[in-house]
Amino acid sequence: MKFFKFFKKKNNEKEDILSQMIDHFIDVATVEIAGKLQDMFNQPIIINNMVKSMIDITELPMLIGNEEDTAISVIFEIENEIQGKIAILISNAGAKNLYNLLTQKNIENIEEKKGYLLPEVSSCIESVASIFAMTFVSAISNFIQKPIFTSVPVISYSYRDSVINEIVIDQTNSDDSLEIYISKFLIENIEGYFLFVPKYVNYLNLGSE
Amino acid sequence: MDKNDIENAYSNTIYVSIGDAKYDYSPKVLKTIVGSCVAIAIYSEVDGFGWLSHIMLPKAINHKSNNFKYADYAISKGIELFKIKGYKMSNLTAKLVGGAKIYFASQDSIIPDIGKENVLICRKLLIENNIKIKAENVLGSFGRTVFFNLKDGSLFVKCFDGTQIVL
Repeated sequence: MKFFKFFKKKNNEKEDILSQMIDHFIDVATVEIAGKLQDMFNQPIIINNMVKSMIDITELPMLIGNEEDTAISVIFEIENEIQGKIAILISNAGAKNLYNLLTQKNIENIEEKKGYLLPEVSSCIESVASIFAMTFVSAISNFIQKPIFTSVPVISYSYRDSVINEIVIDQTNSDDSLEIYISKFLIENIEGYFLFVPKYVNYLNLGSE
Repeated sequence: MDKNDIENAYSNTIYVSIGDAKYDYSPKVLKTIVGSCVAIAIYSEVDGFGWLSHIMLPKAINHKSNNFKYADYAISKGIELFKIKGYKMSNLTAKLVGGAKIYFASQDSIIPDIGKENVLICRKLLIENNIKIKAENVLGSFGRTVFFNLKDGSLFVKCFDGTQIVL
């Protein structure tokens, strides 16, 4: 018998255990991400464990900066046994520092013209985001021995609230509150967030009988 | 409403967060920020009463609870509020801002172009309820900050590309 349950609804003990397993897989995945980034930047990377929260959507923007601050997100949709979105969220200043650190340049402005990111900055952030996404997905996929598919990245650059909205916009139709895994990362002086917004997990396929 | 007015009115500003709605009287200023979401401002010129909603999605699908993030729910609740307070729908005016497509990707299918749908449903529901849409600044590719001045019902719109518009 096959059945699907929304991730947040844990109706029995088995689902609780499997949900805890997923939390554990996610913890391990974040450690692997830190390792990959450490190789890339050649310096210590701090990534907090992902904390699972049930939050009201109106509270989500308070994560980073003020409402009119500029932010950048790179979003990936993941599909198959685990579905949802993963994203990194970084401030304008964070993006500039990330680019400068990675390229050893010293640019002051990340915009090509008002409202548009420089292509090289956009590409740099997408590359770093891809490391987060691919490492995360492959770590979990290895654990559960099932494939998880990842979309191409989508980058948003705008006011913080607009950008955050793009991450959660089509995840909110199933519930008023939002289940979200949040991790803060620190690379030198660059602070950002790594987010996972699950849609659902096929519990029966993940756990053996 | 110019920039100085906005700065002077800052202490009177009430922020409307994602998927929320707020209302107040003159001289307050209601503020929100939208990308693909839509800000719906409904105003009564008679006494400076205004309502600002930040909607995210056109309507709920298989959704039992109520929430202001959906255009259908938000507009129906907004209208209910105005009716309870004794306003005639035909005396109210509405303005819409938002519905942009702010993301950049070579293949953008993972994020639906919800902005346009949001705008269309807002227009439809307002017209169905006999509320005149006085002005709009919708679609495009930039986020917008919206200040709704309840002194005169004007909307000061700051676009992410640096342009500023008064509706």
